[in-house]
Amino acid sequence: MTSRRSWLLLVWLGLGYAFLYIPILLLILFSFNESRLVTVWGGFSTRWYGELMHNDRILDATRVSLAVAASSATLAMIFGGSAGLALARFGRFRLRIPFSALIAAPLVMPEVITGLSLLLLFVAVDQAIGWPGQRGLTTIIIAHTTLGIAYVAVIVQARLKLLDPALEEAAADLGAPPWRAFVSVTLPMLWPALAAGWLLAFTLSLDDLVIASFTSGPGATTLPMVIFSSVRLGLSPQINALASLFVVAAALLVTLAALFFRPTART
Amino acid sequence: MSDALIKIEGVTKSFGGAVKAVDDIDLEIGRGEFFALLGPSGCGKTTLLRLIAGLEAPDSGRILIDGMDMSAVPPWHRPVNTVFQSYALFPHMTVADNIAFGLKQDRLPKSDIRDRVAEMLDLLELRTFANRKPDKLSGGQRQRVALARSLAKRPKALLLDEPLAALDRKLRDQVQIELSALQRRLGIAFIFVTHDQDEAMTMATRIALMRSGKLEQVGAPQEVYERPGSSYVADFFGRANILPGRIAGRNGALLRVQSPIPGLTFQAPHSGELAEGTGVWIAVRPENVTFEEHGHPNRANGIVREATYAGDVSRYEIDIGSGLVLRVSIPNRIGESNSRPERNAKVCVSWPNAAGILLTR
Amino acid sequence: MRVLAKRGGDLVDAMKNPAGTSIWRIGVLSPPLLWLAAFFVFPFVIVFAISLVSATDAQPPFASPLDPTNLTFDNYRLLAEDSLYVASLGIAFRIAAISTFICLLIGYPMAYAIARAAPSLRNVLLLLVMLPFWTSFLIRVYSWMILLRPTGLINASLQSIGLIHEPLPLINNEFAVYLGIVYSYLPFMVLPLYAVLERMDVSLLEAAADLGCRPWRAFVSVTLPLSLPGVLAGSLLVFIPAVGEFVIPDLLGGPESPMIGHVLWTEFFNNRDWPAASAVAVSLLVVLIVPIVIFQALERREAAQ
Repeated sequence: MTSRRSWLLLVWLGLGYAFLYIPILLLILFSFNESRLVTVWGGFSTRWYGELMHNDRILDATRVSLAVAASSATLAMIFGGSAGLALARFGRFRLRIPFSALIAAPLVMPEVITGLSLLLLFVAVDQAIGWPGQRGLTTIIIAHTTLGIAYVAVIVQARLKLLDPALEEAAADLGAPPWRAFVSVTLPMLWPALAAGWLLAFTLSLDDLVIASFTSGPGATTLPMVIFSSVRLGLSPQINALASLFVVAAALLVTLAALFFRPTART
Repeated sequence: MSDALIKIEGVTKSFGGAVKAVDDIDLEIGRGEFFALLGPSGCGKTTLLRLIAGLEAPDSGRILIDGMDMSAVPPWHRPVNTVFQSYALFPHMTVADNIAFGLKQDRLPKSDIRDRVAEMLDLLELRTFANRKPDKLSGGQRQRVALARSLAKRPKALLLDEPLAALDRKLRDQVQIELSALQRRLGIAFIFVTHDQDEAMTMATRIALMRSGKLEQVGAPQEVYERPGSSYVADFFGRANILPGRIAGRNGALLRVQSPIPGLTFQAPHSGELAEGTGVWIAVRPENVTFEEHGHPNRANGIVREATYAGDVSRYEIDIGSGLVLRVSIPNRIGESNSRPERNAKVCVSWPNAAGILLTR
Repeated sequence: MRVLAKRGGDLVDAMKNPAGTSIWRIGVLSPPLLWLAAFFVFPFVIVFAISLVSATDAQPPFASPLDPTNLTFDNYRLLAEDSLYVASLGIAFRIAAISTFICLLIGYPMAYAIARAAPSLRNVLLLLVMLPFWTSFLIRVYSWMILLRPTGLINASLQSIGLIHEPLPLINNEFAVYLGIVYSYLPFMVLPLYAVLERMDVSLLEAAADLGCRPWRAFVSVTLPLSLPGVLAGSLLVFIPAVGEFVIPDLLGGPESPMIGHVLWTEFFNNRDWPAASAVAVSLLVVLIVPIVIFQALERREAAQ
């Protein structure tokens, strides 16, 4: 590869990153702007962060979001881990093709469709058997879990593919039935991938707007829902501050996930 | 074999396709044998090993270990243990913990586990590595850990999947000797899978040559080498000259075979009856063919096409006509350099009657 | 119990499994399978059912689909007759397709550059691409609002240096929607492209060079065709969700380019017409079936390798 071409590629890469990051960085910058207006720099100030801390609506929504995210991430980790294990280790089992299609489908499905379908499910089932009743935390958690399973499954499957399947066979050969083989051999090597999956599902849930809007109910307003309704009315410097916090928090979570997931693939 | 350790009865296994990996195999393996499952890749030898271990289940047939039907017995309850090709050492455990793993599954008391682990460490000379993790070990050391781990459970048979494949040349020769010694010392059956016929011949007390899921021949090394049952077996072990022909009559203990070359007949011992005109093959090992002019009754004239000096032997390919090429192998002994033909030289090759192996397939 | 396990095992497996593993397999497969069947597949049945009844003022606001006399295709007829729906579907497709193409143009060289970078750098570079994706979709769209508004940063800066005197219409139009979609979905394009390009055997290009092929030709004849699965996967990962996109058209788009996802939302939340929204969802799903199936086929081929 000629150096001129690689230089060109590097410039393109740099521009791409600039495109991705400049809006976010500007957002963070202006969250420290004393002035309410974006166009005027009124000096460095953390006043909006202060106001944010007293905004009850936002604080409540944060609590809801964190609870939903933690619960759905945990459930997604369990179910998604299961799915990833099956896809990586069970070979050509009979239901494999429909199963892998089912796991991958939520990844591409437009969120309005998933959200609407889940809401209608909850309403219809509630009519039939009286559960889940009023929509709220439970329903959002179910919805976010459904979305998260696909992501965790992909990560777990990818990690397991790098691990020698003979390890589990050796465990079986030496006297461990499948459950014990999983716990003593597979799990110790898999837990970073599971942790990464949990973190990713957590971030996903924290960020979701559309599905939460469809499946939530009174008293269960999530942070994105609050941001969205506020943003629709116009820009707000408090939202700038909140957004910046969001960005930094998510960045930390993702970096953590990446550190966990860095494959130190030793068989 | 009345007291066979492992009996394989009519076992078939296919992997979701029309092709059978293992096709209706009947086999018996005795208690103290060093048994080789030999064959090219895809012949089913590894599948058969895994069937014995219980890592695969047969589609039909059954496997008995020590008289017990293993059909419903999962691998974690079988009295055999496997050494995997990649060794499959648990990376997050030390050598000692790896060895102890199987014993923990059996819920042995802690003191017994400690004693058994120590015993294995000594047996496989792993004392100094007891607290190391597998990634800090060399290939040879890892293999010893894998052996120790499997042998710790005192299995009735040890199954080894291509044990020498991952080792370099020099280590391979050494490990061959060590494995044989280990097996003799322990007295239990070792069943190993290999594609290398030298390995099988060197280590095994009995060899099963497999091809396309079926058994070609089962026997001691000398038997499969000197009395192959088919041209495939003859050609698999060492090199063999396979000469086609038709039965032309009997001559005492020998059968006369008319070769494709007009006027040229060969003879080989054969006890059974074969009708005249039957298509057969005579297999002759290159080391039994000589350049002596008036040596042996089976003679052919030809031209040297290739002459190769390979250190301890010299190898020749002689074109004797009708598209037949005979391979000759002469050991290079000091003082015997007269009969060393060059390329394109005209020569006469011959071999004794006893060297001819009559094959009907 | 054992018989049940064996039956279940046969259901699950195409070939005989080692003894004792069937229960484990069923145990591992069932939870995700049942969960997704209940909460992903079954809901679609309900959506379809509700698309076949009329909206009412009751709670919930639709007639019961269990009563056959309520069933009607009215909603679908409305969709077909009302030009808004058909138009918004077409617009959504158009915008999604063009955005996908722009993502490809921008993302391919990026993925290529990362794949050719030093191995130690690659993970960091990839992480930097993925990071924006995980830092809140909504907020990133919001950040573009700050930039694009008439009183926003871009217009203000351009005006202050005197390049323009009137604010440019950068928001509430199709341009902003393209910008928003490309911005939000770019990582989805880069990742599959990178995966394919990274796996590519460099020796193929060396062989091409050895046979006298100039670098650009080598790219077109060797790299590009081999990366096609990645191109397809990335394009579908962008296109399919982009068609149903709601947030971006809502915050950045204008009234002249309605997108179908936005229409679905409005029908549902503003008009409280759940059956109509369901009909829209079903239609959208039907239209997207083909790309979704292609995507699944790609995944399968990927898994087989």
